[in-house]
Amino acid sequence: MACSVTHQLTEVIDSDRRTIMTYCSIYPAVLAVAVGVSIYFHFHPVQNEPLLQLAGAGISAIAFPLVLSHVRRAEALRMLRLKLRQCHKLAPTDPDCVKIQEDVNAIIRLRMGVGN
Amino acid sequence: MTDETPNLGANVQSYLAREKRLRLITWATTIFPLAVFLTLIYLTVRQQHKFQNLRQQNANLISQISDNQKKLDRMKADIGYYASQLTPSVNISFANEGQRSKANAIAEQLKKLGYDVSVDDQPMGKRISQNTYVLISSEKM
Repeated sequence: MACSVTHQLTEVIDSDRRTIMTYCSIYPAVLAVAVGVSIYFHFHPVQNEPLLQLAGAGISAIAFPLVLSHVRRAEALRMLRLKLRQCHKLAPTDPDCVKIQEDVNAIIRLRMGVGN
Repeated sequence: MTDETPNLGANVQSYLAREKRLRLITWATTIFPLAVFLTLIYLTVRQQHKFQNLRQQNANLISQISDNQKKLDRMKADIGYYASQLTPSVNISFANEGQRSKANAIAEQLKKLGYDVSVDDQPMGKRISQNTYVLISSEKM
């Protein structure tokens, strides 16, 4: 029998995985558009303006903020998985379960922007 | 622990709903600028192609004007050349023998002006009058 927080923890982990998948699905779209625009301007230059080939880099900048969120979320996911593994090992009455539950609660409140 | 568990469950459900909303917003806020950017690039490229076509047409027109100006200059030069090859020619006829000396004097004056002048050998046989000179002018190469 695992900790009672296991179910909630699993849901949070699943949500984080979905969020990361969302980021991962945005990158190829942005990359494809950036590469497409760069290739287009390479083969069809407008007024021989070489800087237009760098438009792809400008488009890629759209994805940069997501990379930071992605890294933070991936790190949090790794931590949550460790806690889930601990939950599976602990009995529901184990005092560590309470600590894990408090930690999960704190993480959720932090992410929702709710103060302690 | 038992008091906190339902509270945590509600928090988690609320958090999950918020995360779902955030994922949608993330998608929208990323794809929307991408679409706007692509649209702007498309419109810019289309306008640039229009400008390029106009510039090409302008260049063609300038080239045509230049060619026509050259043709016109060549034609002017040809006309000038042919005009320089022309000699104005005047033939003087007179009515009676008394006017011959006057006709010869006029012929001399015209020759000084570069005209090719010829005076008839014989008078035309008309009666004397003040205005009996007959000038026939023509041009020849």
